[in-house]
Formats: sequence, C-alpha cells, structure tokens
Amino acid sequence: MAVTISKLMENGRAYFCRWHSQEDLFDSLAEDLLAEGYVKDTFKQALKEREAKYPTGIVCNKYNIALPHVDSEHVQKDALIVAVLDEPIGFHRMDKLEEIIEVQVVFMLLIEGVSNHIQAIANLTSLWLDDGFMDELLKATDKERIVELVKKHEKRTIA
Amino acid sequence: MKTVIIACGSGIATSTMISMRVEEILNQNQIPHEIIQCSINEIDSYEDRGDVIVSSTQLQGEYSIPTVMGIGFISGIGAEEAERQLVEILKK
Repeated sequence: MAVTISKLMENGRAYFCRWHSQEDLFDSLAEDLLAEGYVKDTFKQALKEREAKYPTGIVCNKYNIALPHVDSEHVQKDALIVAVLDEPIGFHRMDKLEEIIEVQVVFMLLIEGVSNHIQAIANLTSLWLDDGFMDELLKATDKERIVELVKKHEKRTIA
Repeated sequence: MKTVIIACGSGIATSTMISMRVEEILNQNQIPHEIIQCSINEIDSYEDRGDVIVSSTQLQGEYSIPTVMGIGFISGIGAEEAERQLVEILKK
C-alpha cells in the first residue's frame, strides 16, 4: 500500500533548534537519528558526502528549504524528519552550486525501500508549495502539530 | 515517441518529484513519451536514446541533447518557464 506523507511524519521526528552551521546540524541530527534507530552508523558520513557533491538548498516562494538525503543503504526506518531552524543556516543551492542560501526548514526523507514511496516522494513538493502550510510549520513547536498540519494539507490537496 | 531523461544526484529522490510533474505536462500537451529516471552519473549511458535531459541539479558535463533545469518543478519558482522550454524542445 502506498505510504502517505503524514504517515512518514508520524513515524518521523521534528527538531526545533538553533544550530550554528550545516556541519553542526548534520552532526546533531545524525547522532540523534542513529541513537533512535532510524539510520545506520554510515549515515552521517554519507549525508555529508552527498551534500558536498550534490547540494540540496532550494530557493522557494517564502522560505528557503533544503532536502539533504542519502541512499537507502544507510537507512533503517522509513520516516520524514523535519528541522525548523530558529536561525537560518547556509546551504549551497541545488541549481547553482556556487551560491549559498539561507535555509529555514530542512526536510529529510529517510527511505529504506523506494518502490512503495514513489507517490509520497512526489507529493512532498506540495508541502513547501503551500504557503499556508509553511507559515504554520514555522510556528509549530512539536511533532504532533506538524503531523496535524500535514494531514490538513493532504485533505486540501488530495481530492 | 519522445524520450525524456530525468536526472538527480541519486536518481531517486528529486528526480521522482520532477518526473510526476513532467508526466502531467507531457500528457496535457499530448506528447507521447517515455521517461528514463537516472542519476547524474548515468546520463551518459542514456543520452543517445534521449530527446531532452531534465535535471534537478546544475549539470557539470556537456551533452549532445538539450537540457532543461527542472528545479522549478520542485520549488515552484520558474516552473512555467521550465514547462515552456520542455514543451518547445519536444514539439520540434
């Protein structure tokens, strides 16, 4: 059965924090996700290498986002990880590698098996295209609220 | 029949996001097509069969077929322009 984004978020984690750099963010997320059984111990290194080679900063309508991710071999559990940054941090742009943008929200999709997630991966873009969702996301203070927002968004967008 | 190569770093994540949108656009414009989704490194091996490459990241190499920056299909910004380019290339 196809997995929904809200299900991936329910299985996932949310972080609300102030990090000083991308390195700092990746270190703390990777360590926590490893401790919580979401990823393998190869994840941190893979994440950093991937981001260095294929940066994931994206300029969006209201808030810039980043989509750091790794191949499924480093992942233990399917989940959506969201980090709402108190202070934006720099990411290189996916489409203009030399340029650094200030990112406010990080969406990290952990996918262990791709086949039944195609629709969820494709639908993910509709989250940040929805300004109303993003406004509320930046005000959220816990994961439950984000799950609720994703469910509302799904009701609006999936006819 | 047109062949669209859709590429990203892994050939899985952002290329899937772009594929769905490209599929919709080509159907709306009634352009018969097949989509090859791959990683940036694999483009070389599919290039001969393709009519256009749509990528989510800045391409470093030189290719013999036209390329379209597909980030707009993910970010929403510049999506119309990318759509216009894609359709123009494939309607030739």
